[in-house]
Amino acid sequence: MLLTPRQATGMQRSIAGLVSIINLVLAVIVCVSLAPTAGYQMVEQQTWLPAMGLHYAVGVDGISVWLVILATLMTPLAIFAARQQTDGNQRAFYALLLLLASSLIGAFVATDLLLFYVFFELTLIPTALLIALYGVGERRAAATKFFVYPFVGSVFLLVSIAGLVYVNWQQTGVMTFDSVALSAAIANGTLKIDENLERLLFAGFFIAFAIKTPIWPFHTWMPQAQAATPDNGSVDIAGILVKIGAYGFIRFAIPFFPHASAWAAPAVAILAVISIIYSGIIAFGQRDMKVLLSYATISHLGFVMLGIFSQTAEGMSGAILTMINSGITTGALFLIVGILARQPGGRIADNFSGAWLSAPRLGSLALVAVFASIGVPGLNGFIGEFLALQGAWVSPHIGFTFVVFAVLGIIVSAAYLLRMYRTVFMGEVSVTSAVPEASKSELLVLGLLVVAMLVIGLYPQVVLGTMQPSIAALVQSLTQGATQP
Amino acid sequence: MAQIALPSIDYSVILQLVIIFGSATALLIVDLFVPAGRKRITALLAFAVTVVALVAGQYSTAGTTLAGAVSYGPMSQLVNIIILAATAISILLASDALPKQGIERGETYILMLLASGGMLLLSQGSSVVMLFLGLELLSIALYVLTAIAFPRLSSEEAGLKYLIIGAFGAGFLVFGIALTFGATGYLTLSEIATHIPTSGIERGYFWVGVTLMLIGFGYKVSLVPFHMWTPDVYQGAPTPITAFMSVGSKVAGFVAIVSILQILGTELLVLRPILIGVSIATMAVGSIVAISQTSIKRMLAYSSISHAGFVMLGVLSGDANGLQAAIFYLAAYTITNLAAFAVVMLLEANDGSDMSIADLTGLWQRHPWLSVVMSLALLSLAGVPPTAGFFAKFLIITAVWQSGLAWLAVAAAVASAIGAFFYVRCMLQMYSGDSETSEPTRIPLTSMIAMIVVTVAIIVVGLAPWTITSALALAQ
Repeated sequence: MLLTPRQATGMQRSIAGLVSIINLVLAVIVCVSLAPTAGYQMVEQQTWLPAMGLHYAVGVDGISVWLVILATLMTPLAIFAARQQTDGNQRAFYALLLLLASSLIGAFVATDLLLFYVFFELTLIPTALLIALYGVGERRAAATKFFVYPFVGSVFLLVSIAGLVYVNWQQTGVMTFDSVALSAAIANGTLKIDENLERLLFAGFFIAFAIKTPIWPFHTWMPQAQAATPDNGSVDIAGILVKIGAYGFIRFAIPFFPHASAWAAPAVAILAVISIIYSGIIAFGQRDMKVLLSYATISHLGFVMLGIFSQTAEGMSGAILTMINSGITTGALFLIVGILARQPGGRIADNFSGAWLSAPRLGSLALVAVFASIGVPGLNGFIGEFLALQGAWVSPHIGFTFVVFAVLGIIVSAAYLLRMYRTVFMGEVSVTSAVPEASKSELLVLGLLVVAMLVIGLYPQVVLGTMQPSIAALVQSLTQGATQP
Repeated sequence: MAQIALPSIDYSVILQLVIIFGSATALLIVDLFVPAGRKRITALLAFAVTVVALVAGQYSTAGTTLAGAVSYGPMSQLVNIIILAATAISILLASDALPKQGIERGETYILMLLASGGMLLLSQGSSVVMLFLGLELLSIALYVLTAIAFPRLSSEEAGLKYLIIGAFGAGFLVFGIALTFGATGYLTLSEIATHIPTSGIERGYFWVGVTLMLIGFGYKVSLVPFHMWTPDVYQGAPTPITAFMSVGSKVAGFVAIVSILQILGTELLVLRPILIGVSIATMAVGSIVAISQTSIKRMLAYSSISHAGFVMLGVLSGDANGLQAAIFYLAAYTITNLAAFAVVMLLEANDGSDMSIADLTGLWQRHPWLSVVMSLALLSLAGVPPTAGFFAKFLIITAVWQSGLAWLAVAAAVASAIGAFFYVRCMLQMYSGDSETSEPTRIPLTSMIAMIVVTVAIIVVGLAPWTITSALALAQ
C-alpha cells in the first residue's frame, strides 16, 4: 500500500477497496465451507516460542467466523465512506485502515492466548493514529485517551494471562497458551484454580474486556474518541468493530473462569443494565449525531453483555447476533450521518430539518436503519436483543428483574433515535438546510445493508445456524466446568 | 627480592578485551595523524574495531584466566554482543551527530571504545577487583565524554555532576569490596560464594559489604534512590553520548549486579524484600515523574529509570527464568533506546540546545519515516506489541509470577500502564498539529544505516523473540 504513489489517491482507494472486498469474499467462502460442527476448523499452527509453549495458531469456528465476516464487511464500507477524505496523507489513511482490519481479523481467529493479546493491542495503534491524523477538534487528547485507557486495562489482561498459564503449568506440567487446551483442562477438571485466585485472574480479564467493550463505567473514552473522528464516518465504522472485548468474554474470560464468571454475573448484569439506561439518557441529550450514535452503540453492547453473562445458549447467540447487528445498523447510520455532515449543518441534528422532502430515498433507508437499531420486529435488531434478553431471563445467574430494566432501555433508545430522525428528516424544509439526495452508489451500499438487516431479521437462521454447534459446545463445557468442584 | 609471579594468561578468553583496549590505544596515536575536519576516519576505524571484536567473540574460548579474575562463558558472550553492538551503533550515530554540533574530536570515538572495554570487563569480570576496574574504566571515559561539548556550559555541568556522583558510587563500591574481602578473605566471586560467613561479626561485615557493592552499581544503573544524577546528565551530555551511556552502562551495570547477587545463592532471599522495594520505587518514580517532563531527553532519562526497575524485577527473582528475562529486557531496551535517541539526534538543533517534546509536533508531515521510527521506539518502550519491548515486558511478568510474587507482577503492570501514558502522548504529538519549520531534515547515510538496523531489530525481536531467547536458553 505504501508503495503506491502519493498523488494517485483514486488508485490507492481502488487498491484498498479491492483488497478489502477480496477479503470479504474469502471470508464468505470460509463461512460457507465451514462444517456444521463445534471446535476450530481450518487450523493453522506454527511454533512461535517453543520454550514457553507459544504458537502462532489460528482457526475459525462458528462464533468467530461471523465476526470475521463483519470485520471484512465493515472495511470496504469504511473505505467507501472515506472517499470524501480530501486532506492529509491518503496512502497512510488506507494503509492504517487495512492494518486495523487485519489486526481485527487476527484477533478473531487467534487461538493462542498471547497471539490474541498481540492482535488485541495492535488494533489500538492504527485507530489512535487515524484519530490523531485525520480527526477533528480535540483529536490528540481523544487519541491519547483512546489508546491509554484500553491499554491500562490490557496490561492487567497480560498479567492474568501469565498467571493462568503459570497455574496450568504448575498443575499439569504443560506450558501452553493454547486457549482450546486451557479451556478443555478447566472443563474436565484437570486444572483447578483456587477460588480467590480465579476471581483475581477473572478480574484481570474483566477489566481489559470491559473497557474495550465498553460498558459503564468504563466507557468514557468512547464518545470522546467518536467526537474527534473525521466527519465522514469512515473511522467510526471501523471503530464499531473494536468490540473485541465482548468477543474476549465469550471466548476466553467465561470458559476459563466458569465459577468466577457465575459469581460475577449479577454484578456484570447490573453494570450492563446501567449501561443500557444511562447511555440512553445521555444520548437523549446529545445534539451531535455521531456522539449520539456512539451512545447507541454502548447501549447495544449492554444487551450483548447481558446475553453473554446469562451463560445460556440463547443469551450467547443473541449476544453475538447483537454484535453483528450493531455493526450493520450503526455502520449504516454512521454512513448516513457522514453523508449529512457534508452539508453546512455538519453533525448537529438541530441544523437540519425536512430532509425527507429533498432526499426521500436517503430518508427511507435511514428510517429502516433507525428501526433496526431500536429493535422493531422483522428487522435484525429485534432478534438479537430478544434472544439476549430471553437468555438473561432463563439464566440462573441473572433473572427477569434485569430484563425489565433492560426493556426500559429499549424504549429510551426508541425515543432518542426517533427524535433525531424526526428533527433531521421531518418538518419544513428551509433554504439553509436542504439536503441533496445521496448519490447512486451511496444508495446502493445503504440498500445492501438494509437488505442484510431484513434478511437477518426475517430469517436469523442464516447466522444462527452456523454458530449453533460452537455455542452448544461452549455452554456444555461451561456447565461441565462449573460443576467441577 | 622475590620474583613477582605473574599468573598465566589465556588470551583466547580475553580476546575481545585485548582487541578493544589494544586498538583503542593504537587509535589514540593514529588519531594524531588524522587531519582535523576528517575525524570521521577515526570514527570508522573505531567502528571497525567493534565489529572485529564482535566477530572475535565467536572465536573466544570459554574459561577463566588471570588467576580467576576474568572469565568468559555463554552468558558473557551474549552480553558482550549486546554491548559491542550498542557501541558500534552509537559510534555510527555519533560520527554524524557530533560534527553537526561542531564537536570534531577524534578522541570521542576512542573514549567510547575504552568505555565499552570497561563494560566488557564488567560482563567478564569474575573477581570484585575486576568489577571495580571495569566500573572505573567505564565511568572515567563517560565523565570525559559527557563534558566533551566544551565549552558548552550544560555539558560541562553535566560532566562535573556525573563525576561527583560517580565518585560517590565508586567509593561505596570500594568500601564494599574491602568489607567483603575482610569478611571472607577472597576476591574472586566463586570463592567468596563458598566462604560466606555463617555467624559472628564477619557475617555482619559481609552483608554490609555486599549491600555497599550493590549500591555502587545501583548508582550506575540509576536505581531509586541513587537516580538523581540521571536526568541532569542525560540532558546535558551531547545526545550521542547520552544514547551510548543510557544503554551501555545500564547493561554492564546490571550484569555486575547479577554477578554479585549470584554470590549469595539461596541467601538472596534475605535481601529480596529490599530489592523488591527498590524496584517498585524505581518503576514508580521513573514513570510518574516522566509524565511532567517537557524535555525529551529528560523524559527518556526518567523512562530509563523506570526500565531499570523492570530489569531489577527479573534480576531479583534469582532464578534462571528471571535472569533470561532481564537479559532479554536489556537487549530490547538497548535497541529501542538507540532508535529513539537516533531520531532525537537528527532532529535537535545544531547548537545542541535541549529539545522539547513539543518540537516533535507535526513531525509526521515533515518527515514521515522518522516519525515511524520514533513511534516504534516509543511503542516498544511502552511495551505494546508487536515490538521488542512487549516481549521483554511479557517475559519479566511471567518470570515474576513464576518466582511466586504475583502481586509484584500486578505492580509492574500498573507501572507500565502509567508509562504508556507519556509514551503515547509523546507519540501522538508527532501526528497532530503543523510543524513550525517546514524544511525536511536531511538524514546522513551512516545514521540512516544505524537507524534501519535498530528499527528492523525492534520489529524482528518483537515478532520473532526466539532469535534472542534461544541464545539465552543455551547460555544457561
